[in-house]
Amino acid sequence: MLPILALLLGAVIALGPLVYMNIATQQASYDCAIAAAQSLDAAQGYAQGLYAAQASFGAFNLTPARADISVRGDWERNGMIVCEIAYRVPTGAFPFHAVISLPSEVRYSVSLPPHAFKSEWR
Amino acid sequence: MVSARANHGRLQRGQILILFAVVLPVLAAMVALMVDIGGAAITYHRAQVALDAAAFAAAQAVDLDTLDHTQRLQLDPYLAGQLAGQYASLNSRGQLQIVSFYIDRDTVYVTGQMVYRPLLAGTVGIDTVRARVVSSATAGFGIAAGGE
Repeated sequence: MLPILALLLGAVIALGPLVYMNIATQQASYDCAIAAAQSLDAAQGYAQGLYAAQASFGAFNLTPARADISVRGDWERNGMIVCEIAYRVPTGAFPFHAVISLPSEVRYSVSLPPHAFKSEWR
Repeated sequence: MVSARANHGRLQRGQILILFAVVLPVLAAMVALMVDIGGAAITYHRAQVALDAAAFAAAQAVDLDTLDHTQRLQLDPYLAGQLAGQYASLNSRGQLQIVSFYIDRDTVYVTGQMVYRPLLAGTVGIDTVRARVVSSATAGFGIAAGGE
């Protein structure tokens, strides 16, 4: 009986933060893609995307260092920019983590076309 | 004396069993509810992100012919619709349906519907959860002297 109770309590405790991390990672991916899509220059787009994703995690009070951020694509007209983020879940911080199976990471990607007709391209 | 103590122990074990029998289903139902509410919240946010991306993509479809001839910034409805559909599907993993699409000169308005299939609420007859998401975007345009 007690292991079942521990399992259920562990799930209850872990679910909230996991949902929060999912939403934060989705938002960070979107912010990253939007920022990267503002430039037609690959190096600048990459830097903007990376910065926006880290700022987004900061706004959610999550550690940006836990996120593996990948910004790639064609910074050309009719191109596509993809921002993919994998956030490593701090599984050890959850109680009963030994008995409940938690995902080791949360991964999302957002694709956008570059802002094709914006001024100040570089 | 010994017999009374043994009886007391048996009685307490019985009480705990009854307590578990009552508490366990309630707790399991709460976990199931939390899983589905969490899942729906994640799906809703993903649908909103996908619709925002779709609106942003559609706002890139500037009608260059109209711009050349009339100097008016206007979106090409056909291309905008195509881009919106493409990026909505790409970013939502099939959890978003675009239900309305409207262009007013340089601004696009999109309405979508999030579709979430609960994992556990299906046992009480809730097969699908739907919610409306809305988004809009305006074409960004302007060639500065230092621009391309």
